[in-house]
Amino acid sequence: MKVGIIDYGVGNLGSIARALESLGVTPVLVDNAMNLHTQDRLILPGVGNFTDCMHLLDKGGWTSALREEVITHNRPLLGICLGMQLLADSSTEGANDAEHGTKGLGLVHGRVMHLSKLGCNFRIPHVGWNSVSSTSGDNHLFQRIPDGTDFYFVHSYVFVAQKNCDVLATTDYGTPVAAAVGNGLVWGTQFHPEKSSRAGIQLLSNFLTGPIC
Amino acid sequence: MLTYCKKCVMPDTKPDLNFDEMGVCSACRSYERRKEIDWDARHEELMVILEKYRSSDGSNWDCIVPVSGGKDSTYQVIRMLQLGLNPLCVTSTTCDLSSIGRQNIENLKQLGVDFVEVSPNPLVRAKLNRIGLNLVGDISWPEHVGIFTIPVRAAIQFNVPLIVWGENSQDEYGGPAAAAEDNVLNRRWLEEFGGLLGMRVVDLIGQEGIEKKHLLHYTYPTDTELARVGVTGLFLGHYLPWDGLSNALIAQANGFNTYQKVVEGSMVNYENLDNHQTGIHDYFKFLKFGFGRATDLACLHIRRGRITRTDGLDIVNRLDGKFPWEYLGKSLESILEPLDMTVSEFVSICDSFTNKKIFQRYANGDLIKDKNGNLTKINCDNL
Repeated sequence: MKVGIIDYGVGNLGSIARALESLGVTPVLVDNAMNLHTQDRLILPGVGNFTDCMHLLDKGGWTSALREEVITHNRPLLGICLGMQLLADSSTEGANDAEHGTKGLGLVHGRVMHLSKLGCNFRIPHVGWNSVSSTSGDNHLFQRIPDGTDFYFVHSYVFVAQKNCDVLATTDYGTPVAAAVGNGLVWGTQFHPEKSSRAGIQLLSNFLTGPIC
Repeated sequence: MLTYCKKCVMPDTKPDLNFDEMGVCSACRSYERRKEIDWDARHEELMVILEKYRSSDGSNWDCIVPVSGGKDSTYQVIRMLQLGLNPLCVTSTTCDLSSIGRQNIENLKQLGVDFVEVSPNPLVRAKLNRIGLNLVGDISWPEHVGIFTIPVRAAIQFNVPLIVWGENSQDEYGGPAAAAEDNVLNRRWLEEFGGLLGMRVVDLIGQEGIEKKHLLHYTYPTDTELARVGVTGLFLGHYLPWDGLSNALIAQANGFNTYQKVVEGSMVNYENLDNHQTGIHDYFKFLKFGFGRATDLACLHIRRGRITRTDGLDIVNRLDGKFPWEYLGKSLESILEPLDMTVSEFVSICDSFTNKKIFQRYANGDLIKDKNGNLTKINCDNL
């Protein structure tokens, strides 16, 4: 199986690659949008600012290529941290147009907004281990992961899904926060599975063994 | 409940650490693989890279060596001099430099090297310490940023492309200089390597009166500047066998001073001697993840077969994660003073960052503390 980590110009690739290697998979760093179709499964990392990342995705031709792979070819995709937020329709982070926000990939419908806008009075950013509960029992991504397991989070913005059924798991940080979202074969985790010890590796393994289409 | 590696004493709460089906952590497995390394071949590779960057006519330095004056950087400089290089040593002044740290910097210069010390504005630094502690539970956030930005800025300023770092704690990787082509460091590489806990330098502008102009030392050069000089780097620990204790012995034989006793919260006297805030940094690691500096050190020595796992556990249980009332002999109250923070404010920040699932608590949920404010982990080994 070929697993491609999308290398569109932001960091955080090394630790994801190492986590996959511990599962016996040697990931490919895909640095050209034209080569996306050669991979069986895709991982979209993200670090930094939504608007900057979307700019890189647009500039490199990734936005249209990713949408085609996912929508037309049913290629399974996992977005991690900011990579999950990029799946949304829009985000206010770094946006020139504060009202409508910056346009995202639109693969899981929803908007990304600052934690403080959701009524969170806790310290921001949300950094550290926090327990995650799956919203339904038959969720492939969370198979063999007990409810309430801790995962490692680092973020200030959150994904607010348009449809409740697209939220696969939540965590509580002064307000309910989407910890994982999914729609068809597109998944995203707000936490970092690659930094989350055994449970994180199990989740990555679940993604790798998940349905293809 | 914490699960510990079956070979060393590291808990599974350490981010980025993986455990295999035998219950052994990835750091132990990585160390086992080091035994298969052909160090002679690595040494040859190192010589090829160094020759490539050596100044042929003596018109410039051969490399930048980022130094703190600690055991590892003293060792790095000794090795560079033994290999006939002319390094420019660059120090980023620590947040709260200790007198023994200053002595060791002076000693390092006496090895016979050119040296530059970059000291960011201490008043801004204190604000950054406070913001780091308050927001992400890391008082050393500005220091960790500066350790990476300042030598890279110096490389640009002095037009010296090669930076020789010490150990790469994140993975077994020689650094970009080893790549045959396209080996120039870029901003993205630096940011991934630097590990900033979700708080970025740009996020600080506007907080507590901090302006862009106050953060120049904490800002990476642009990709254009990096490309102009061709800045690249290598990790010496990839090319030479790397062991903190033997580095300390070699450094000591070259004038490096150790502390008069085991450092508070640690289990040795030969490292982390240059910054009074380090005790706070290590304590927060204990609160968040259930391990402190003594655990790190015990793991290193267990892997090298110097102490048994049982001895390591005993040491960790006695020394790790003690409330940082003092560090290198300076009181907590004095350490917090430049941050304009009292000990009681500090305690409430500690509590807010404590992972309550791994420490003993009363029935009402409050943390159980002894008379010195120390917490007790729920479990100190696998049950």
